[in-house]
Amino acid sequence: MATPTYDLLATVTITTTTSGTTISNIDTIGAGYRDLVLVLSSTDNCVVYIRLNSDSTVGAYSSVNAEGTGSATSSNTGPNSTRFTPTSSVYGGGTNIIQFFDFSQTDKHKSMLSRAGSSANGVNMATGRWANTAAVTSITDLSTRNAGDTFHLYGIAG
Amino acid sequence: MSLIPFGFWAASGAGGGVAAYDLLETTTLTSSASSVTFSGLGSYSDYAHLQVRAVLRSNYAGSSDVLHAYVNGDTGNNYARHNLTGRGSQGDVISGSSTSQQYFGRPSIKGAGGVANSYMPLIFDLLDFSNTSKNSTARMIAGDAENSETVEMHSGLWLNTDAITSLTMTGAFGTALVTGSRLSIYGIKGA
Repeated sequence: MATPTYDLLATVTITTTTSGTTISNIDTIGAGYRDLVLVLSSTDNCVVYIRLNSDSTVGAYSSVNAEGTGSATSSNTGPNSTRFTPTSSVYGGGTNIIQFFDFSQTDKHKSMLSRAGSSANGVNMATGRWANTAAVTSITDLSTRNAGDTFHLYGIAG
Repeated sequence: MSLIPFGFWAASGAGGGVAAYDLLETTTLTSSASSVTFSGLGSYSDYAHLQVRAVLRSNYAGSSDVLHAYVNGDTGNNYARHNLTGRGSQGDVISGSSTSQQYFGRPSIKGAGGVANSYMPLIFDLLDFSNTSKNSTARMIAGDAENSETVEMHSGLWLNTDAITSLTMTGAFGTALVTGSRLSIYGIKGA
């Protein structure tokens, strides 16, 4: 039987310059969902550094991204890091969509896929892994956000 | 900063529309399986597109395997594909294409020799799957953050206008997808 899904779980709208934005209580608001989708719409820059459950352990995260600026392409890794880095370039405003898979399953590390883009500066895709089997209860974007930036978190059943 | 947890929404949509994205089936492997097939896709013809969201790991002894996906049991040379791959450790982005292939795309999946407890994420879109006036196309995004160190986008084409009634996924080098691999398929409404 088909189950309607892709439901909005939380919205954060930045009203004043903020360093570090956390969506918490994901174990509660995300109960019953399998995957999460975080959509960040940024008016200033699209650099994103993600930390799950406030875990700052060195080596807890690994990332690979690829980007095109319109005139060049590049790819880089972020192994053994303290954060997931879906986009590392300074994009002049843009959108980043980050997918978190099996976020509450305690038998596997948490994997991520993201796509980001700014019409002015480039396009990016990335993958990442959090080397932890704990259920995700919070997601933190460590970057500084300005007024008008928004986060939307969606849940997808599975 | 405001935080507003709703816990509902898209089922009805902010504009009062109908649900457009529905979970159809989920398979979570509790033991190894040589392949996973969604075989009842003909009953989902009221959807325009399908999407598979998955985390995958095979029993291939190496750290990375490759996913093979085919439809309607067709493993003839009836597919074409392109890929765009960021190779983080090499620092470059490469692109390739192939025709007369037996499968849609070839995204990486985790092998048994990869990091323990790690599964490769995949989003697989199958477009206009029941439209008999056009060949079917697919798009995949996948990645492996620590073994192959790649992030990949693939496109695929099946040179057949038949409606797709089944989708099969399997590892190319291993003999099975392993316990914990999970595949969910969703329907996306059209007009």
